[in-house]
Amino acid sequence: MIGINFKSAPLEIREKMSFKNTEIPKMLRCIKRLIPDSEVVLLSTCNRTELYAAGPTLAAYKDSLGLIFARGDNFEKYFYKKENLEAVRHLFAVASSLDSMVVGEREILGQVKTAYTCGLEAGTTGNILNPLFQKALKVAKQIQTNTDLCLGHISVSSIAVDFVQKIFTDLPNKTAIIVGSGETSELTLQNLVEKGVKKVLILNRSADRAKLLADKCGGKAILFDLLDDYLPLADIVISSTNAPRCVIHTDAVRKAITARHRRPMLFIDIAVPRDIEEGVGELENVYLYNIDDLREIAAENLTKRRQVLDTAHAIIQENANGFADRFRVQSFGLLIQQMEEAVNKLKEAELARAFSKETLVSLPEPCRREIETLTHRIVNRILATPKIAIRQAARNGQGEEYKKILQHLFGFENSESEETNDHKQTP
Amino acid sequence: MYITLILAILAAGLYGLASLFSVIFFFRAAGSGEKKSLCLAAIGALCLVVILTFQAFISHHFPIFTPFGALVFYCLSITVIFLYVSIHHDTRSLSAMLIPYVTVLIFVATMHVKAGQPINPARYSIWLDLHVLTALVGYALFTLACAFAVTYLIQDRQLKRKHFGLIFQKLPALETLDKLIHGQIVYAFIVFTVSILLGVVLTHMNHWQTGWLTDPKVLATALTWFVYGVLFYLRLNADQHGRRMAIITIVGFICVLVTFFGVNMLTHSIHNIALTDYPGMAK
Repeated sequence: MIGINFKSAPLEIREKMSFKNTEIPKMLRCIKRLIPDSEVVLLSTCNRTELYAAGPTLAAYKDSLGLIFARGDNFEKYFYKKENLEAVRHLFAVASSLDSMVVGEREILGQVKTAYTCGLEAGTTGNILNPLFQKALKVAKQIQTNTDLCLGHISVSSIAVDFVQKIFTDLPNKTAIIVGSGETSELTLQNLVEKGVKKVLILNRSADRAKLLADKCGGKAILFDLLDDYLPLADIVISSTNAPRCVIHTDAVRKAITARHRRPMLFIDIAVPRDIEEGVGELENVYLYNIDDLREIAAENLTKRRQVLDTAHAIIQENANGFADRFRVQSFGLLIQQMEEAVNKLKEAELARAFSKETLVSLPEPCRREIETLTHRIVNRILATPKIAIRQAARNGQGEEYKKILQHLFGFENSESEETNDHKQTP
Repeated sequence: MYITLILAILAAGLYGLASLFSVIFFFRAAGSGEKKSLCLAAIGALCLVVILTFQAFISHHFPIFTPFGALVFYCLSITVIFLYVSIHHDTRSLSAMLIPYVTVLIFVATMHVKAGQPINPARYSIWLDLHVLTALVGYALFTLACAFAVTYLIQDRQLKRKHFGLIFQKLPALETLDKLIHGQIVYAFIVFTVSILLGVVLTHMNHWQTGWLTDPKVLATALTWFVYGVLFYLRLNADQHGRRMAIITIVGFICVLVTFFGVNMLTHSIHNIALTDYPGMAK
């Protein structure tokens, strides 16, 4: 595989190297035209662009592939390249989000799946990349299910939305009030709107800023002075003003909660100094979290994720080795098939010669069949042990030696089995 | 009798396994173990259906007039309603609380397979069936309301104290629980009211004197009905939500426990002996 990511290249280079969804099938087919017996998948996200390729003649096209991937730009110094088992491990790590900017993020799995589906639909995947990507998706799922890697968010805005979802479920019918403005509160609002919150009220001392944010998220701008009047309507309040003192007071919230018939209210205070009086959090059915609470949770979640990294890497290593073993065994399938064909050809020739002899030419049909069955069983018994030995040797990495011996013994020509040998040809 | 006992033991075993799975998988971060426990509980419920059907076949009436039959039907109702709710809402994690509760009751029921006296055929009528059935279904609905209320209070506490561990992750959202409490109380109150009305009709049909008005079971039932009536009013008319409603729901369930179990264990009630026609009973 060849690729660039957020570790190897700055943003401007990654932007130039990224592919739009509509460009990917074209690129895949272009590579397929250049190397007809290859298999290719292209993964392109905001943080990485990676090309996975496999094929019997790929070794001869390594440099050309790099040039095609770079699309004429001189970005090779930012590329990283991996082959064989290393490439398999890398793909598993990418799909499991271990190589992501935010370890444990769940989006990458969907992105890998999309990239694979694209390759499948473009007809550029085959016997190597199909099982490889399917295995990568399984391993990623296994890590997600069996470890805490993907549990808990680590961004403040996502954690705030987690709280919202643990209190409210019918988000389209909930009202969110944003008091003030700021990057985190806007991000939180954006996340809320994505989750389904439709009614948003923006309160800001600057009417222009309030209107700007309201237009951005489909909300309504309200005069800041009307905050206490609108509180009873608010299920979610996100506050992030530059006020030197609290702007949301316990009494106002007490009245609001009574007016709302004690329907729960969630307050998220992102401001420093705080916008919301501490007493608000003591009220029944009112939940108050400040920026320190959110950061503490983010830090805890990050620590938990880091603690399971070793386990996740171990799972990847085990599965990558297993995949490579199975692939090695499968790639010797053709050799075994050739060996069987050669022996069976010999058997058929000898049977034909024997049945044409005077003594056996008038042999009844049942007897002929019995003799054919006998010779078939003899051939199978003779080949059984060598086949097991070849598969075991393939697993143990001694496949090359056995292959040379077999080719010498049976007189196979430089066959496809050589070209499909995994050590040279896995992605 | 032996067939019933064997089926009861089988049901108890299945529920026991379901309890084990539900508790173990509650404390595991990921996985769908709760589904397995619900499947086992569903199979256990099928056993209970078979028991009741078998008993009905033998006795030629609905077998809910003995402690065993009443407990079995009560447990079956809880299981069926909970399974239905779990299909439509994210409440599987509550199986760690409910299924062990049901399991204990089934074990208790299994120890009382032979308990209770046969019903006097002269007292039997379809109205009696309906009266007891609706009472038991009402109790089951109240039980579920209580389970949701307890969960609400636990989740509320987790949010208030900012404990965001496994329990917080596993339990449903407050709004889900609030809606479920409301739903259960409405249905339970209606069903329970029907049961009480049927009971009043039965007293007239059987020409009971007014002594039944001061019967402990009747008084306990009236108290239960009153508590849930208050809840019903607070929710439907006053549109109240939140922690206080959950607490009142739990208080109501304590009344249910007294009505269903307490009266039978602590005192005598003509409610129980009336079915078997003891000498000197009020006619």
